[in-house]
Amino acid sequence: MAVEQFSVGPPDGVAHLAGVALRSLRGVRLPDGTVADLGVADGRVTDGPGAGPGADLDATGWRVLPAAAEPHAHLDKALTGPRVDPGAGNDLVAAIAQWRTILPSIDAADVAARALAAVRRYAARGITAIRTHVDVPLDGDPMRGIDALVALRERLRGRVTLQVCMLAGSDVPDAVHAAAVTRGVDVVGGCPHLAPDPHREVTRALDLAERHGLPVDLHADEQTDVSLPDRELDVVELAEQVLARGLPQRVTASHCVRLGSLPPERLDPVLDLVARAGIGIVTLPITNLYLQGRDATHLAPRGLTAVRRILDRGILLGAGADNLRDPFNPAGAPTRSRRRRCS
Amino acid sequence: MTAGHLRPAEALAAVTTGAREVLGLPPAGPVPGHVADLVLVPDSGDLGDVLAGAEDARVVVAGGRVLADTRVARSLDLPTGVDLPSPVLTRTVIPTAP
Repeated sequence: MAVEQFSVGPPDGVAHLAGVALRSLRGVRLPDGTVADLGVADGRVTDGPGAGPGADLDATGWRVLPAAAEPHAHLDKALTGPRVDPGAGNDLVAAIAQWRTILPSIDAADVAARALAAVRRYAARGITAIRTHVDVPLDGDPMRGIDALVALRERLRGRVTLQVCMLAGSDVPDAVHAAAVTRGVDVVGGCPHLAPDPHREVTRALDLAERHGLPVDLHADEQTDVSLPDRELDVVELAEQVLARGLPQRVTASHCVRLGSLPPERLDPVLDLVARAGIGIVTLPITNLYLQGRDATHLAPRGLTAVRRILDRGILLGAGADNLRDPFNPAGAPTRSRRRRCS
Repeated sequence: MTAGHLRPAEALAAVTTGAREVLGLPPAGPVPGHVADLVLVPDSGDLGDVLAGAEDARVVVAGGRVLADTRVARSLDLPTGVDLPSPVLTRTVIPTAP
């Protein structure tokens, strides 16, 4: 059978390639500036021209880059922006309150429909893997968000990689918390930064992760205030527990905004501890620019974690966009470029 | 991320290799052995143009299969290049007070 031949064609031509399986990319410019042919086999890039099944794609005039990944999304919240007042000017606490006013009216079908619409936007922008946190609501069926997104993950398997991370607040009872992890989630999350007892919240998340052998991804230190002692930073609590337990699975701290407020003499020992614990950090600049610093009259803090020193310390860093048109960022977008440019 | 004071290559890494590693996924990109999750953008400028989002057209490949294909047609009432009939530059004369 003849191998199918396609050409990408001009940037303003007709979009026609979705669904085409490739065995080669011809004449494409690589990140190092050279023009080459790439083979594709079994979902991976190969050296030299592809020989297996699939089409040859002439990509003359196009440049190839790695696809992006979104390490931190909230697909259960995505695209609820039109249901709330976008001019409310939410900080984190106000955004949560606004979200909770609409949550009772949201069912599994609603979550699935918006999540899929959001994934379509992410995919079109060049994002092929997404980790979504998902709430465990107190009103109604606490599992409806998880069930909807686990089902969507299976539906999209082979096209978009979806990871579902349970995000139960500290007010979710222990029994519900423990049951949520058995619904097919990929990651154990949590939000100790909002809990009255952060130590207890980190403990119950890590207990669950340890029991099920799952990776951990906690919302941590999503505030700019650092008047508290360093030992009370969420990321310090997390790192100490990871080290004490000898936790082998991957552990991530998302946001870590407070680290951006620490002077070097306080920051460096904290980052040493994070590095020893092998924790990765996810920075989410756009949402934190939106949520943080609202009480400042001038010179508002940027809401960014200490990205420069994190990289210089050799700590794994991922960057994401977090919220896509929801109470936490009514204008959020899944765009690779904006995430790079705007912070 | 460049506005967060990362260098362009670091900014690109944070949303690609760094993000995938955080997720525990194998590396992706146009490198033999890597997962064939790729983005094609028009080869009209340098990498900085890509980072700056100058081009909206893109073809997204996941696992060796085209996931999304986006083209952008645009009509502008502006020249594509400056081609003045003659390079006559006029100096603006700022009137002085009498």
